[in-house]
Amino acid sequence: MFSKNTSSLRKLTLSKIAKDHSELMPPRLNFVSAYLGFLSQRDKWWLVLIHVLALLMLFTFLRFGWFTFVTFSDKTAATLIDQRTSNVATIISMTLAVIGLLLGNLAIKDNQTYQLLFIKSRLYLILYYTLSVICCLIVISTLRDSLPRPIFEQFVLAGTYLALFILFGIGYLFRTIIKFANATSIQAILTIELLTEARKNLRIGLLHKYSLESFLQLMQQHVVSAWQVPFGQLPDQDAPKLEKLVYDMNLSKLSKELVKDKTGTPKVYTVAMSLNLLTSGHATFISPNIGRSVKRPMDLSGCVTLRQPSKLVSQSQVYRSYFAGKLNEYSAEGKHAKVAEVLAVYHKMFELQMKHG
Amino acid sequence: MKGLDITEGLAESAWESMNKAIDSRDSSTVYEFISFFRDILRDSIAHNKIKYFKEFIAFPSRMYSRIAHKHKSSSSYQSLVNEISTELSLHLKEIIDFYIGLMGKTHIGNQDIDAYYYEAFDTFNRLLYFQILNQDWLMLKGSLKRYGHLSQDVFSHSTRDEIRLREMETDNPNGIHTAQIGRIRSEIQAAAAFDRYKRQPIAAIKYWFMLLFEQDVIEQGILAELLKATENIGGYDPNKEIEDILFFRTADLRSYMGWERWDYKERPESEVYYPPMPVNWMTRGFVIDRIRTNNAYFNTSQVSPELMENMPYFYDAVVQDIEGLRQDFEKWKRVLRLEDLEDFNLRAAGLLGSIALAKRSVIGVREQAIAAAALDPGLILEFKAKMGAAWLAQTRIRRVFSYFGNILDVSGEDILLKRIGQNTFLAKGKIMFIDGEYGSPIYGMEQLGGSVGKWEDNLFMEVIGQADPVVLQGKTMLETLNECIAQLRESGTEPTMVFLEPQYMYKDDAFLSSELYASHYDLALNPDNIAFFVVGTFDGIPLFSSYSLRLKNKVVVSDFAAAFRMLHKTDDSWFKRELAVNVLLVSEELVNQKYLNEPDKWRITDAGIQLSEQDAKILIRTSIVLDLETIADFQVLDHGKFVIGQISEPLSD
Repeated sequence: MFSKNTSSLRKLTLSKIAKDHSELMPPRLNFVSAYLGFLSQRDKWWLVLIHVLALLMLFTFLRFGWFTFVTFSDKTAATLIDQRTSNVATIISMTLAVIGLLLGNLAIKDNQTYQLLFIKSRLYLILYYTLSVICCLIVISTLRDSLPRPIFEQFVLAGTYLALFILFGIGYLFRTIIKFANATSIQAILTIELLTEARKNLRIGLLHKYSLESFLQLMQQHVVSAWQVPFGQLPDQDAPKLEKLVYDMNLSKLSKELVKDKTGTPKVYTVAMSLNLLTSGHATFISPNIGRSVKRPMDLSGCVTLRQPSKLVSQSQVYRSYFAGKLNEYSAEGKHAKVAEVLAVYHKMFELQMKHG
Repeated sequence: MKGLDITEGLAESAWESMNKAIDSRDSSTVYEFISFFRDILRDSIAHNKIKYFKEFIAFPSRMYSRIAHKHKSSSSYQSLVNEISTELSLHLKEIIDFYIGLMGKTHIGNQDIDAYYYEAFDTFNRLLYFQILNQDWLMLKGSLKRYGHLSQDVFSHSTRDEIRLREMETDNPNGIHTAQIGRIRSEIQAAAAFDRYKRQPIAAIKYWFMLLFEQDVIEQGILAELLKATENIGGYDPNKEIEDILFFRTADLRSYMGWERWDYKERPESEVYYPPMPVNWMTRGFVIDRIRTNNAYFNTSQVSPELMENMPYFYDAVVQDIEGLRQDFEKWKRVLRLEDLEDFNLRAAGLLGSIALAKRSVIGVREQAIAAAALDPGLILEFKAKMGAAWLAQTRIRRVFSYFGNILDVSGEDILLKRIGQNTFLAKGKIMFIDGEYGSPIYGMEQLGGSVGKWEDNLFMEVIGQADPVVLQGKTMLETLNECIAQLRESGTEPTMVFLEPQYMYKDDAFLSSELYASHYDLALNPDNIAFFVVGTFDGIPLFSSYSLRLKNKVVVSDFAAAFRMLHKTDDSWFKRELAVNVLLVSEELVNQKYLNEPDKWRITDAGIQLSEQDAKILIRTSIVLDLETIADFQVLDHGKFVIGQISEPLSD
């Protein structure tokens, strides 16, 4: 099972999951939408600003093809920059007003929907982009007398190009927000989200299950048995040791470490190691730790890659409680078609669990 | 990370919303839930995940009870009753027939299907109970009808199958049929599970109806109708009925099908109460049903030994229930379909008689096994060693002879000696010598061996008593002993041994304080270190003691080696070559003799059941004959060399 090329248990297990449970794998996004998705996060404003600045520089100093086609007469550039700045400001204020109106009229007003809306419509990206562009335009207009004329003109031109992208962004924004005015499409989106989350959780479960199997198999190969808590003995209740998340393991290295002991001392494993396991025994999970000799023990911690416990992926209950609430509501109102929709989602969840759990 | 289940909480949400849907009175919404539950149940069978099957199979009984509860308070729920409640039993029937029966065959496998059947029938059982609780007689009849139509064609095992199975089992060269045998076996097992789960709830419900009538919850007319509805289900098998009633009496019916929670009325909340005990109402229901149908058949040949252990209690319960019915005959006579008490007594006697017969055969099973079992040589050896040790600890005069050397082995010589010992007939004693389930030790047998030792001492006293000895009288032990020694010394004999009771060593202060008495002695006198065997010396003469009653208040003073001689016979197979221990089975001759002597002792058991002659003789064969003996005799060589002292004022006990 362990090929010599890949020593990462995580990679091996993930590829096994991809092979045996292809239904659970997330749809492959193309690079652009994945990248845009990354930029759309709330805390990525600085990255957006950098991008805008980079684009501005690019458009300003890239002089070829149709970039050189536009020419300005004496004062045109100065007038243009002022007009663009006020154009963009107007567009933004209008857009924000309309968005505010639409948000106020969302079919389902709860945190979950807002959050989803912000992500789906790339609101943050568009907003940050627009603000960054305005920022650039203001700076350019301020520098009209400080810069050499040809450079200034090129800046104005580049700023105009950037401003044009805003229109597409806002168009996209409206298109997606309109969808959220319709309860059915919100539910469709939420369903997709819920099932995506469910698949992800199943993958996490499988990651744990298969990696545990591999670990136990390795233990069996090396005749390492499970440690039994002696009857009547309470578990070690010393000061709590630092728990860490097992992110990855290198089983081929562990295997090499295990064969170092030539004394044949019987060993036990105190922790059944698996990926995504929170444990404090990440460096002591095999006992007694004898390598080439007692003084040169096995390097157990070197076989394990750790992460902070906060990285433990756990289930979110948000979507489910949304559906549970909806089911309750529809049932009480006797809306059988709606009930059927929610129950179909439930059914799908059970089906996934029974198939892959 | 364990137990990560993405469906966690969904079931609760579904149940909660189902209740809401029922409250909304919209049958199509409720129907959406039904189809959802059925989808999950179907999938759980397709993927063989009993966990989810268990989670949702209860929907018919839950829905029914919710709707019924709402319907009680408002008639606006009538449409739900009509459209949903009446169909619930049909859904269950379809789940059992189509999902478990047809799909389970390919997806679950015969091993696991038992659990699915149990869950489904458990729900059906509860649904029927709720319908009874609500007195929904019409609906109940419909449900019972559907229940009756449940079939297990898929797993049907015909007699043809069983014949084929037997053929394959007897002719299975190189195990070529093994796989197929296993398959047919597991199919038969699955079919048996279905039969059992289908049969038991109907029996229980029938008994429950009787209880309802007894408690005046329903009237005789309704009872008759309901009983008819259960009878229409068919599939009655008297052998299984007997097995079931014994099972009901012994199983944990709180977890199994939940009968222990059944009740017929709402109890006040603040009071402590117990619902009716299934062990009572089920037994009573069984009795009523049997008398009603005039069916006294009671054959327990197919019932497992564990269940049979309940037979004596079952019998007592039946006796009580019959008495109860007799007391209340007027109430019951139409249910029982009887005209007068005489008929009742006749039927009751018939039923009791056949149960008593079955109860007797319980005793037979154990006894027959014991009677037929072979003796275990290891246990016999162990017994011999124990008897030998007990004998050795009690043998005294033989030791004295051994010490003085005046003992003669006359084995092989034509000299007749006495057999000292006994032949014991130990009733029910065979269990001591058999291995296995029924074997068990009997304690306190050591005294048998010990007695043989004492009897040797008795014989010695008897022999010297009959030899016309010199007998001297004295008031106390001290006085008598002094007299005896003086007498012997006068006649020129130096005494070498005094034989007396050990009690003087701790009770007679005058004797103990005598200057002539010394508590220490030469250890060579008592090499085995037997307690209270050598109790000291008097005037330098060793004191030997014995518990023999013939030595009571007597003392023997002698020049031992010159006065007496012991003759004995030995054999290599005996314990220490001296004690013969034989464990013998009861011979046929002895069986007949014992039975003829005391027929009643054997025919009537401790439980007061009368046995046939054959069974009584089986009981006799569970006894054992123990034969313990030594062969020896004593001779007096010289009358002048010993004196017997008689104490006229003995110590008080």
